[in-house]
Amino acid sequence: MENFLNMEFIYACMKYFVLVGISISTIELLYNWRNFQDNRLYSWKVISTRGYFSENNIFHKLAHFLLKYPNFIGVIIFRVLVLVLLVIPGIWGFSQAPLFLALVLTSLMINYRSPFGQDGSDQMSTIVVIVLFLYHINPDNTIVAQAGIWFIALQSILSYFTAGFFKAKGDKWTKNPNAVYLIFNTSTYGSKPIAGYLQNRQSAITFLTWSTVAVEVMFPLVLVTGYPGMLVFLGWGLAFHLMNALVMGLNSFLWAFLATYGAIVYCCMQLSAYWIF
Amino acid sequence: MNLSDIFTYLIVGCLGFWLLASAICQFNILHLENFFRRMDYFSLLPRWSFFAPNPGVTDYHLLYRDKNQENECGRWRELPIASKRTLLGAVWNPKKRSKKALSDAVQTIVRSSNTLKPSEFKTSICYIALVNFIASLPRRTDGRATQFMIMESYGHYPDKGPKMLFRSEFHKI
Repeated sequence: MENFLNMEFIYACMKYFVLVGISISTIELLYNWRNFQDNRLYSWKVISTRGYFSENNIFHKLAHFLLKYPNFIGVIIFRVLVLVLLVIPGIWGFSQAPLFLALVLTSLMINYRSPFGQDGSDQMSTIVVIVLFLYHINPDNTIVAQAGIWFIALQSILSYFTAGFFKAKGDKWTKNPNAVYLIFNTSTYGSKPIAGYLQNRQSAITFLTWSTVAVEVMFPLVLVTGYPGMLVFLGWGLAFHLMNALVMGLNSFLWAFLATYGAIVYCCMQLSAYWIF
Repeated sequence: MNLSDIFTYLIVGCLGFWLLASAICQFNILHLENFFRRMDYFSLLPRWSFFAPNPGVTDYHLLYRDKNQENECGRWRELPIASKRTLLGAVWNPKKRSKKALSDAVQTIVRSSNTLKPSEFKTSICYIALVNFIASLPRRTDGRATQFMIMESYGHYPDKGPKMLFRSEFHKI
C-alpha cells in the first residue's frame, strides 16, 4: 500500500486507466465516422448554428475549420496517434506534456462538437486528462501534483455523492424501491434476461436499489475510513461499474472512474496519517 | 515570488475554483447553476446526477413516414434507438454513442415540446438535427416531405401499452 503514497505511482495508474478508456471511446468515434457527415445527426452545419461566437471571431473560424466534415475525422485520427505515443512506454523520451495538451485540446473539440450523446465518463475523462497535463508540465512541482490528486479524488467523490443525493429524493429509489428493476427492464439501458430474473424478486430489487443509494450517499466517508475500510467503497465502486458495463453497456465509465481510484486511495492514506485513533 | 510560484498558485486556484463551480452546478447553490452552465462551452462542468431523481424507465421510439407527390402518406418506419446487449458490449460498444445521441435528441424534443412554444423548440439544435438526419436517410421511393413521431414504451415486461408523445409537422425533403 506504500505505493499509493507515491504521487508518481498515482499519476501512472491514473494515466493508464484513463488512456484505456479514451482509446476505446476514440476508436468507437472513428468507427462511427459517418455520424459526422453533414446529413447525419452530428452535422457540423447544424451544430455550428448554435452561434456561441460571432462569425468574425478567430475562435469561430478555427473551430469551423477543424470541426467541419471531413476535417474532424482528421482530428480524431490525430488523437489516435497521440494515444499510441502515450501508451507505448519509453517511446517518448521527453516531457509528455505536449502529448497531454493535444489530448486535452481534442477532448475539448469533441465536447464542443457534441451537444448531445456525451456522458459522465466523457466528462470525467476530460477532467483527468487536464490534470495529467498540468502534472506533466513539471512533475517535480509537488504542490501542483498534490492539488491535482486531491482535485480528482474530490470530483470523483462528488460524483458518487451527487448521484446518491438525488436518488434519495426520487420515489422510485426510496419510497417504492424498484428503480433498478425498472431501468434493467428498458431496452435502452437494460437487459431482458436480468429483468426477467428480477421480475418477481422484490427483496432483491429493494436490496439493489437501496444499497445503490446508500453507498453513493455515504461515499464521502471513504476519505475517513482508512485502510482497509476504504476497500469496501472502492470494491463496491468497481463491482458497480463492472455491472453497469455488462448489463447496461456503459463500457467507458469503468475506465474513467477507475482512473480516479488511485487518487482517492492517496487522499485516504494521507488523511489517515493524521488520525490519532 | 518567481514565475514558478505564480504558476503554482494559478493552477491550484483554478482547480479549487473548478471544483467549487462543479459542486455549485450539482446542487444549484445560490441559484448560480445557469450562470456557470451558460459559459460552459466545453462541458467542463459535469452533471453527476446519473439516473436521478427520476430514472428513465421507458424506451423511446423514433418513427418517420414520407408523403409523396400525390400527398399520400407511406407507412411508419422505426429508427431503432436501443441496441441489443452483448457481453462484448462491456468492452467495445460503438453503437452506444450514436444511440445515446439519438436518445438525447428525442428526449430533449419531448421535454421542450411540453415547456416551450412551437416556434422556440422547432428552431432548437436537437429538432433541426433530427429533421436533417431523417430527411437525409436513404429512401427507395420519392418522398416529397417527411414527418417523425416519438413514442414511448414500457420495457421488456410492460404493464401498459405504448403511447405517442410527439408528432412533427411534415418537413420538405
